[in-house]
Amino acid sequence: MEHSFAISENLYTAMHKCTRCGQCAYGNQNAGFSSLCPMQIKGKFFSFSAGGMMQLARSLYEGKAPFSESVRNILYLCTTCGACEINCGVIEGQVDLFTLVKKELVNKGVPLLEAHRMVVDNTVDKKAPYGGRLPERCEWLPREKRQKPASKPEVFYYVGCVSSYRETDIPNAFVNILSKLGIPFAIDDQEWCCGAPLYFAGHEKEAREFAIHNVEVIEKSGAHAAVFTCPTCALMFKKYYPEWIKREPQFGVLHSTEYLDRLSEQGRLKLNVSLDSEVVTYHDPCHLGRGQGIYDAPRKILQSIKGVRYKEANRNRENSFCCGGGGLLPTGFPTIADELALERALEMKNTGAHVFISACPACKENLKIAAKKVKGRTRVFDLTELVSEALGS
Amino acid sequence: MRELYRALSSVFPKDRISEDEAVLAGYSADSSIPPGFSAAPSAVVLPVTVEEVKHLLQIADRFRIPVTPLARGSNIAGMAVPVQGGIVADLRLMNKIIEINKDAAYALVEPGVTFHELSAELKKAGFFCHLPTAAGGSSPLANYLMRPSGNFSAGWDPDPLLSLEVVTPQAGIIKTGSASFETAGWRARYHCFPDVTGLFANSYGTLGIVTKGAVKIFDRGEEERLILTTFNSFPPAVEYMKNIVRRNLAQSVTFWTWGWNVFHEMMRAKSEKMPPEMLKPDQKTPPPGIPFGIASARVSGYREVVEAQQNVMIRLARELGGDFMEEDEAREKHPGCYEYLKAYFVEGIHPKPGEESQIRAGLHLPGCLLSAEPRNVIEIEKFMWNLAEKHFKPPYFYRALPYCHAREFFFAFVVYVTGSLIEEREYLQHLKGIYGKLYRDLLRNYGGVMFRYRKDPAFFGMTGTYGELVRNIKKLVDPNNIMNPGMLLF
Repeated sequence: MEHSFAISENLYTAMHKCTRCGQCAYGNQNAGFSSLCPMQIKGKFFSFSAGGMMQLARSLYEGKAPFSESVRNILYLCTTCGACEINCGVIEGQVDLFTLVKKELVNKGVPLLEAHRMVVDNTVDKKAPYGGRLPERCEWLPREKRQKPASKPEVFYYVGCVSSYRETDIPNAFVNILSKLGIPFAIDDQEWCCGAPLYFAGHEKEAREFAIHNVEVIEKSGAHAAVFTCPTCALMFKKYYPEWIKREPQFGVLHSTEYLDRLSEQGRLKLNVSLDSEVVTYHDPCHLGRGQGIYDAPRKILQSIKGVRYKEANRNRENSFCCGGGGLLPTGFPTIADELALERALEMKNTGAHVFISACPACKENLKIAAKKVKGRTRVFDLTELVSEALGS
Repeated sequence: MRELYRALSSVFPKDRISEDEAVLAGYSADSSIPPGFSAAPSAVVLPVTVEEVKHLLQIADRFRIPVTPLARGSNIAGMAVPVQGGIVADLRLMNKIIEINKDAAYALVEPGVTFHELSAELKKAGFFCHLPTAAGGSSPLANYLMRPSGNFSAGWDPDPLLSLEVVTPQAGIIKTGSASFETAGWRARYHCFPDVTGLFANSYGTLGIVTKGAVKIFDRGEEERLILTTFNSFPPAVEYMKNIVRRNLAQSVTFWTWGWNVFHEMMRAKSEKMPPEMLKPDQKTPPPGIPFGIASARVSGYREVVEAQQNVMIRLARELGGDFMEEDEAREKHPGCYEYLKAYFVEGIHPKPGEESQIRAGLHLPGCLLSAEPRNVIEIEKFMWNLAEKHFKPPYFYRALPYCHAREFFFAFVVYVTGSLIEEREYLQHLKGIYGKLYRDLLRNYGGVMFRYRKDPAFFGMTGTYGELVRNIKKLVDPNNIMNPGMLLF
């Protein structure tokens, strides 16, 4: 039989093994088996779930269904939150399979949604997904704070696009932490997008060029570790870059929460300043929690801040619910992304918290929109902002 | 097709009907459909009311179009795959738990309700439901209609279904059991006339669409206990299980050979690597430190009675050459096994995911599932070991349990295929060849009956006048054979 695309043996086996049990869309007993799959919640039909996607992938592979805009519209409802990968007991690599199909959509000439086309074009042209006249990449940092990069930096801070251009409080807070702790660091305006928007839009080939460039920039700095405040960027470096550049980078990759936890254990991070007594809850970013297995570090740091009264949301850790901010959903389907964020914000609000913390600029951005619709004064911060405040002046 | 879609669109709003090829392809296969044989429907609808289901079947009947009902879709036997095209009736939005009747101990549910949802609600009420080995995302109503084995099979008397609401192409909406009387409620399977609920059990959607059903639920009691006993061979384990169920010492008991024990440890460790002992040629002999088999029994009720029941069960096991395994010992030496059995039998929480689908790196073959009399199941076990030694590659293992009190035993022999689909293509073909003839051999030689229909019309043909009667009933309720014809039952 002729097949319409090439596939690895693992993914081939995976797409034939789905028992359609539906587990991919649910959390485990710790979350009362709540629904977790944003695509399934919004799409209603079984096809809008990892299980349905497995059958769709089979049909596409067997040439029984055409690569079409309909396929695209289902696929791009997936936020790549990875709930399916954690909860399925039969197969793994769901998100990789979806991304492979996205790649094939591109190969077969199926047009991207216009909004996604712009993201891809901008990323290729401007090395960031945003359009218009972009400021310089490091302009988030006030002039008075700019300094020559350390000659022997301990870490390279990879800022990422959302933080560089939109959620600039996050990099400012993180740089503030590094400065206060006297940690020599490097940032570089030659940093490019991590390539995630390209990869998740089926443009893996282009994303590989970004990987080569970014690894070169960081290795040139001489830092032994790169630290990321964006979990998606960190995930790209950890999971995909080694395969794309065909070697391990010569630096470690750490998300800021891992790094801060490590500093705390080394006794270098001391959070002495007490914050106003606040009930605080934490949103696990999908690409940090399910993507990298980092659940404890952010909680440890958060709970070590004086004045913080911590409450856990119903769906948490591996059962966390996506805020809707991932997988290009806010660009392609902003209304759906907002609805998902509101569902998450209401759940967080139910803990009694007025302060929502995350550790991802995209989550912060999406939750901020939702928090405005939630009754009562609710604020959204990145964990780095709280840590920066708790370090004092 | 245009006309059919127009007719369906008059019943279903835009967001609950689709003819989009991509959406349809999502319904085109499950793991039982071999590569290259996926089959998409022409349309899929998401009904939310029984009236919508009625209109759907009227339209489908008028157009002579097959309808494949699907509750939650969980299946490893292609029962809800539209292999002959037509319309898929995806019932997942009919997902209400209409009533939990603590007084009469039943729950009235729609087919889209999942085990996760029902179990969670029942737990709040101090009850639990029968849990099968199907995954927690599957439908209790659909699953019970296929009479599953599980954590309460012994105490079914005779199974968990009571009254049903069913829609058939010709008879319209009908209610069975006590619900067939307007005022009698949903409490009972039987009244003073013939039982019709049973007609729809194991009909696999070929007679109609079940839109509502009352299912038995069970009081958790003052004390719930998992009692584990070990045995070095199968015959004494069968004797033990038979006695404790017949004498009402336990609500259920299942015997798991050592492969399950290792397997449950893998589940706990989230390991995808098959331990070497699972692959050893001698699958009968357990590795050191692991008993040949563990019998896990559920006992609940008043504390003093449970204590006494446990003591008698320990005595019985020892008299038969078995032994009792203390909870602490189980927790320490076999933590994965202990946690699984405790969750499944005592907490009434469906271990997640279904245990039969845990090894991500391997393929699962549904195995040989059948029911037989207690003495015959001992012979079947011997036969299966011999067959496996000649024809199967390790690992393989089985579980057995008294099913429907202890008149018959459920026996499931499972083969795991540990390579990829491509590597194991030939072996899978080889297994398929063996399985094709196996059920007929087991029926002829041991009276073992295929537990669930495997799309083998010749097997149905062996039922004689019973089959004739069922075929005539089918002609009455679905004369145009639109209901799930892909099952190859009619």
